[in-house]
Amino acid sequence: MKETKLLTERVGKYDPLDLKGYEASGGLEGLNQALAMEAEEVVEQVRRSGLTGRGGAGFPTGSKWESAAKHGPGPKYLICNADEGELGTFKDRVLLDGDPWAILEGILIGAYATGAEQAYIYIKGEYEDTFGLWEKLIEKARDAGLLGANILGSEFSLQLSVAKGRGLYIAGEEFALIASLETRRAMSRLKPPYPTEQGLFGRPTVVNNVETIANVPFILAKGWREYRRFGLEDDPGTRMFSLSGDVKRPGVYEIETGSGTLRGLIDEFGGGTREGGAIKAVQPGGGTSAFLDETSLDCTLSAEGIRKAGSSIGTAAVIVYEQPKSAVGMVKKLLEYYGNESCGRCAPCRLGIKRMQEIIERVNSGRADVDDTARLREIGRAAIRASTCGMGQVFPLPVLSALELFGQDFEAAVNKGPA
Amino acid sequence: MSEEMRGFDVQAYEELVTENSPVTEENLFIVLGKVQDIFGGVPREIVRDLAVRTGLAEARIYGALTSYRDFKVQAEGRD
Repeated sequence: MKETKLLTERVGKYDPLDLKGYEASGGLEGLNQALAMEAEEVVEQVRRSGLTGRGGAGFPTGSKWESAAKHGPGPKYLICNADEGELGTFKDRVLLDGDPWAILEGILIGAYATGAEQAYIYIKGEYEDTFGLWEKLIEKARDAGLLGANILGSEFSLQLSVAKGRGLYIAGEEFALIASLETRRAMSRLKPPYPTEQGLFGRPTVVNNVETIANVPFILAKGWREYRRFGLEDDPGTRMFSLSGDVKRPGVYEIETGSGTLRGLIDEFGGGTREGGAIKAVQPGGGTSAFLDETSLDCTLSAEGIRKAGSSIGTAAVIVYEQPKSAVGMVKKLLEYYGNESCGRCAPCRLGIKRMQEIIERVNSGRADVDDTARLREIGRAAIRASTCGMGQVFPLPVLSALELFGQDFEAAVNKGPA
Repeated sequence: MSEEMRGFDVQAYEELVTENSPVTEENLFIVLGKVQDIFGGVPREIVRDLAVRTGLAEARIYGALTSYRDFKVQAEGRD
């Protein structure tokens, strides 16, 4: 397996506040190309590139832009979602810190294409230094004529504001993020209407993940055909995998879609398990993705490959669990985290997590009764079906898959009895 | 008992408001964030002032603020 540095090539190669350094390495070519085109052509380029969202949901970026672009006059917004909160995910930070001008360039292209004149970048609160960097970067961009009125002498104008997240996981969900920027409680809502119809302040709004946006300058600079030379036909480009957990070399690895396997990523890039033991389980798409066991690790590293194996690529955060961890403990930790982060808007998530936590606690302490695992399944399935937002619909997946794959761990805990 | 925040550098606040003028719904979250980062919390007087400036209900702003882990409206610790 090899890395393909489509997005991470420049990381660490220039001083992140030095626009000249960025330009010297081919930066701003995409923006210049875009500004020479009609906005519709820019949308078309991105649509034909086949780029899909890298923030978890995997929606086609071009379609999202098209949907926002078709609205007539009046304010529109573009939000770069840098509130990277999914467990195990730290890829966006690499780009935000290491190649921030490319993100800015992507934001400019996206705003131009969709007709937004105000953009926001919403950065996870824990990324203090990143936030500071972006405050300075925006000033530099203004001085260089890349933000403000008539950007690079064109008719296009854009303001960019940087907001800092305030410690809530759910604020990374697009509607909760929008609510947050409106100074409301970070809560999701039902869709439709989608943000591209009614988003920030009720206006058409594009919300794109950092990594998604980072793909855009390349597509515009080299054209969609060149972009599609990378990765799979129906899932082109690369993915930045955040590899963590029980591996020797955790880190971010950028790989062409379909060009390797989960096992290859863990063994060749990650250096294998930390203690050299067998792999118990892997979550391939962050803390809310279903567990895969050792027998499924030869799946292809692509959305489709991981889906076929029984999980989802999500944010491409691969969390490795080594033997002899018990699935009960793994699930307990996940539920503790998500239990603290439910926004509380809808009952299936708010109450479902708490009830599931209580059951897991009983299982773990050997006080569970025979029906408890069935109850876990029932509540989990109800939350998946009835929750409003992506969080409620996915947090039970690791629990259900753990029951499926590691049922013996739950039985062992139940049979052990109280300590 | 935790207490409401009392006393803050009024001049620093006025400078902040001037830099971010006009404060509207569009930048309120960001301005509140700066208040939090500068003063270590958002004093009630500032909530009141920003409510007037933005035309939003004080309760609306206060209610939002108190829902975030990293916004503080009460004094932290002791002098």
